[in-house]
Amino acid sequence: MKATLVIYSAPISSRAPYAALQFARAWLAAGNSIERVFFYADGVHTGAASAAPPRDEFDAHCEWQSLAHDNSLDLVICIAAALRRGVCSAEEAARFQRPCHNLGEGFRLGGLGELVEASLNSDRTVSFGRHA
Amino acid sequence: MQLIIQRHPPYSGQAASESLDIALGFAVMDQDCALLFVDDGVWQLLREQAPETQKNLAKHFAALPMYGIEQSYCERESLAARGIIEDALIDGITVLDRAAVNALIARACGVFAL
Repeated sequence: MKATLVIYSAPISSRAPYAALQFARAWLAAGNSIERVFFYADGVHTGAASAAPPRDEFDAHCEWQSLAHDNSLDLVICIAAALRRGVCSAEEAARFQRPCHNLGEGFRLGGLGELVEASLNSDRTVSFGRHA
Repeated sequence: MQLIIQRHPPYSGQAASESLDIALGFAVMDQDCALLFVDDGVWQLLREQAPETQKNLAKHFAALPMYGIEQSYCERESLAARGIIEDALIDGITVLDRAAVNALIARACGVFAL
């Protein structure tokens, strides 16, 4: 089966990126596929390469990056939600004349249409919010 | 039908408008979708809103049929728990009791709840 994952909440302030990662690992291990992982609302903070949690804590950014690398996952950060919250690619930083950018490798910015499209192409859309 | 559940109050962060954006995302791609207001999300439906520094959400909801979003639902129990009468709501909202809300969620092929 093919699933689209949506993550609505941020690392540190919620367990959503962690719960979603555990789900993704189990889902893939069971022989399923992932159409796209869409980070929306506060979930876009997962894309920030500038976060540096202590070594013994869960590093949502790096863990997602590594899972995506190993399984060729498409990690999309909602562009409108990200720009509001200071998660920015080099291209957008130049466009909006911001002094820095922090979108990590393995993540890309995209519009809500990519969530809609992925969801319609999937058997399941699984959401991870602030209560996850 | 894609169901977008609004359960956050207006004007206390971006959740209300970012939920609405998901609905509009489906609507512009000609997908059947509906909004459901539960819990503190029902505050978004009050007719009299006069935000000074944010967008007036109620005005956005009034425009939804233009985007092809014909159905908006609200849970009766959520209104009652907050002392909100149906007359205080904007037009075009179908009020459902909890059992009907559960059936609506069960019928949806996609559910999005921030």
